Amino acid sequence: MINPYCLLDLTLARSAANGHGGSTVDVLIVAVLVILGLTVLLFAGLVLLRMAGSSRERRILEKKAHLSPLVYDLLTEDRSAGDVVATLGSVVPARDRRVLEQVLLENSRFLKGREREVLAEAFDRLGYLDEDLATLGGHGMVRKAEAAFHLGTMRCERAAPALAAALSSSANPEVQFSCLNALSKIGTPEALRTVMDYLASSPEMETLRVAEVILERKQEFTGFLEQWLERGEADPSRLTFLVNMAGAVKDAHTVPLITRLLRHEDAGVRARAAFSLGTIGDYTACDDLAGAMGDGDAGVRAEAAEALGKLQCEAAISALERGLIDEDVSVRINSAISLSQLGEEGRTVLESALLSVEEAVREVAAEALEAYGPGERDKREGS
Amino acid sequence: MGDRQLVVIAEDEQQIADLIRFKLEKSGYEVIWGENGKLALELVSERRPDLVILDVMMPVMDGFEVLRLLKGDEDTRNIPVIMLTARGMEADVLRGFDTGAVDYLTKPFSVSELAARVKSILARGG
Repeated sequence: MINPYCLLDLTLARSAANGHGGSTVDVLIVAVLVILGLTVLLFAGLVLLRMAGSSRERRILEKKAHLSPLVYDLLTEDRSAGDVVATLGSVVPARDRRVLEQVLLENSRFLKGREREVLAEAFDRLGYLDEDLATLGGHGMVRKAEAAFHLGTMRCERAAPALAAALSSSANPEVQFSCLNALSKIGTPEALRTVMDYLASSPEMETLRVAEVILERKQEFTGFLEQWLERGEADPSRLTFLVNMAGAVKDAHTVPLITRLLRHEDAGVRARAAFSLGTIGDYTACDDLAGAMGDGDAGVRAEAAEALGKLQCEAAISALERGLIDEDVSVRINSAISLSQLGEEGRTVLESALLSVEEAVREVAAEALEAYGPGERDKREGS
Repeated sequence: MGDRQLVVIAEDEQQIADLIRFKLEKSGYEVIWGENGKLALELVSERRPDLVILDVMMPVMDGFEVLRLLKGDEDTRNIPVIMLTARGMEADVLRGFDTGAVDYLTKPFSVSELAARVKSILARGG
């Protein structure tokens, strides 16, 4: 390896020999050589670090491969949690505790029934649960979020109060999300109540993340969404949040309530209502969505046009036909796409639109027919 | 080796595949694993297993596409298929039965229950 100090010595010696000591050129050469040398050293360091990391990962994988069959054997042999703990405690060295924890967590993720209960009890008796509870009450945000994730994965009922406390005391979104997710997975009535109360008072939480929490317990949440919507909300942002949730969990019970919101005074709420009705997929919303095609707000009309296609509302063809000549381009595009999804009758309307005097109408009709033309449709039906 | 019934697992998560394989091998079956739909399909074509366990969500080729191809091929259409689906995907279950699956399990699942179903299906000849 090049030693920058040797190069420096050589350069200085050469400069002295040539009688150029202290000239600007020599200083520059020295500087370049030093930078070059340092770069080489830095690169070598990074390579070494990377190698060390890969080697560590490999060792962990090897340990997992060694421990997994042991856990599988205990799980599939109808052993009690006590046996599992005794066996694992006696054969797994202390230095492999973290790897064993990972193996238990990874298996708990996709197992259920007695098998998961055995894992959860082993997790508790081997001391991991107490460690995670201690971490949850500590300070590091990443570690707290990770601990909550572990407790949720293991469905540790005993951890519910600590998770609820961490949820209310933390301002960190990752910790909040992990706690909500964990409580939802634990799924006791108290844990679910905590989640629902929190969600009802925190509309700023990202919709998809909340949906992820709720989907874990879809059945338990549908009733609450209905209650929230029925109670009514003066704040449009909260109402929009609830409508989004109903759409995300495809809660068909909320369709009559959301349909009513198509006439809400706030255009944003009306638009999200139209969108969620399309997502939920209940055909009974067709007439109201066709009516929303006459809304004064283009955003609402565009969402309604899209929803009519998703719901395959054949009775709404004339409303979508009017959508083709809407002043707003997104309404025209969504209407054309939806018509292309409504069988022969929809396609006939689109083919007629190819003869429109309006260039914009001809354009969207042609694009929709091309994208969802007979060839494409046959292919889909064939599959 | 040759007299053991052969099961192909098509599952992209190695941890799940490992556990199923462990349990089924202990129950006396020979088990091979394909980590995506395409690989699993190749294994089925080469080895003609007695049963296939097919995850729905897989990279490269999903479980439904594999099922459709298996059921469309004269040589593989009679191989019984158990689908593994995610919770909340009831529509998947119907679609799977429609395409020719004989049974399904929803994740999270019990590996003992899966083994019992494999045993039952193979005992009645698929």
